Amino acid sequence: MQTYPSEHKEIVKELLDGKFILYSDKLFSVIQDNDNKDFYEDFFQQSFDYKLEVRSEFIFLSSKATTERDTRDFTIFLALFCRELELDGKKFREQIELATHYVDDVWQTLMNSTKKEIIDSTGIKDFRNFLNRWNRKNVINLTGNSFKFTKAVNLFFEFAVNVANEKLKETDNLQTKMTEQ
Amino acid sequence: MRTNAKRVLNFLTTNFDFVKLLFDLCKEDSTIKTEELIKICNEHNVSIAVIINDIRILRELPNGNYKIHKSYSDFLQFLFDEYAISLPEALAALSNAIEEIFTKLQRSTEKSQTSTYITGLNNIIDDFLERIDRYTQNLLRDTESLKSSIESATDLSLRIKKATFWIDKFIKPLNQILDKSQTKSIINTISLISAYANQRKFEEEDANLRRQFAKLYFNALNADIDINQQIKKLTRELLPLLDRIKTNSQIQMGFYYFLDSYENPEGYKVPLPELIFASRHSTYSTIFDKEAAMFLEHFRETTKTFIEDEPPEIDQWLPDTEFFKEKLRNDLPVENFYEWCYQVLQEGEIKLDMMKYSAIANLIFEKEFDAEFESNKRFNLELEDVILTVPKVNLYANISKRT
Repeated sequence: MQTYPSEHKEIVKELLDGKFILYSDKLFSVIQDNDNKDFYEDFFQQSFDYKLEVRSEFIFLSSKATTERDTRDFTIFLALFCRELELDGKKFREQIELATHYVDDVWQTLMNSTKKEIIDSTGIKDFRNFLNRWNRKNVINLTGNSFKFTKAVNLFFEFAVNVANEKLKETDNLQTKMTEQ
Repeated sequence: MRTNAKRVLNFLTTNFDFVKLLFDLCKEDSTIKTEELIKICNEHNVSIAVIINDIRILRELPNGNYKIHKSYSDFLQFLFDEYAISLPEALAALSNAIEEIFTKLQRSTEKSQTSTYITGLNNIIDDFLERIDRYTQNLLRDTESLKSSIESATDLSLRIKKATFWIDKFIKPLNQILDKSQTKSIINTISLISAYANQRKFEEEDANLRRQFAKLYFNALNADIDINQQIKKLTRELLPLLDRIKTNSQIQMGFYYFLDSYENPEGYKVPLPELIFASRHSTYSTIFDKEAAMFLEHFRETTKTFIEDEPPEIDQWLPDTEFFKEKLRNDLPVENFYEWCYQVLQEGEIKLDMMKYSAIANLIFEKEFDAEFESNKRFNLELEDVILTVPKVNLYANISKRT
């Protein structure tokens, strides 16, 4: 008979709630255990058609069938914030990975951006609710009027690197074609 | 003809700007075109003959162009602190040369040859260390220039390409040359030279050779320490720094293009992270018990009962109008016709409803009767199904009939 880890119910609930399980969470090591990892990959695939993504610092579920827009909004928020930090002469990566950010200051930074009109068409404009949603998902750690990004933010950096590499590949191919002509 | 050192130094001091310009123009491949040389000589009032024959800073090439002399090139690089970065292959060749000379030294049986090999080894180790140092300095300086904030995607793209190039073409090959785990790495060769020289400095009978081996021993020992420091700089500082610059630039560039097309990210080749959002996905329904009960209900056996509809009770009886017409003729004149109808029907003890009442009341329209309404005199008649308000009507026999 199939035996489940004692944390099974908690693991399933957290992941189905769309949360990231972080390295610092005890559930992380339970899933990462080799036998459990295979079991949970199969479990989520067979039960819900979800893919269990296990990274070195976080675990989450992904689905091809997802239609939510909030991920796009969070990527916009992060992209804008990184851009403003860099333009402000700050090391954006260190700021995102290490610094504590005050909600009002971040909002002001976004409002001072030359690209602030982007925010109007997204869920970011209701900033407090937006942050609450991503706090629930463990992508940020919101405490009172300030927050810190968790390691889960690296997933969005990964996405940006992939976009850049795709773009560089396109440019290289274009240059090769032009040289050949 | 020997070069006069004082004249050379005087020339360099007097014509410093010219020398710097010449150095910059030769930077790419150490050569300068004839027309360019004539131009800058005229501008700075310098004689071509002097710089070629006297100072000997340049030598003429078969194609008519000029090449800067290697000794000047090295010296000017040192003066201006602008070293041309050596390819890792050049360092690899030096590393191989050290190993080769060391092998020859071990096999050498003649004192003079041994002495030459020791001097050669010392020189080539110094050369190697110097180049490694320049190499690291150059990379660190150029890496610093990469860190400056750049906004446009084109600049970011160049920065990524440059960082990738340095990592792949310079640092990784250099690390391989310096890698301790490789049996033929320079580090291991230098350790062997150090151990060998240490042993020979005690064993050698010739005092001169003993001194030379002692010098080689200390040189190799210092080289070992020096190379280890360079490795630390390269692998613990420079490589992570370049990697970080590369990744950070990729992140900024990726976000730059994403923001550019954020309205249509679905159409973009790289999909956004496909996260799921909180939704209740119980493996069984929360109202499972009720649904199951409803489902099972379909399979429960029940005895069939048939209920027959009872025929509706319809009272189809209507008064015999002829009978009542005859009665009315006999009772004429009647003072209150509608009251009379009510009375006669009540006598029959039947359920008096509107239908039956109308059948009799309609006698009023028969031609043989004359009706006389009494205005403002109305009264109510309570039937089974309705309460009628009717006028008081006197009924007589039709006059023509009466006559």
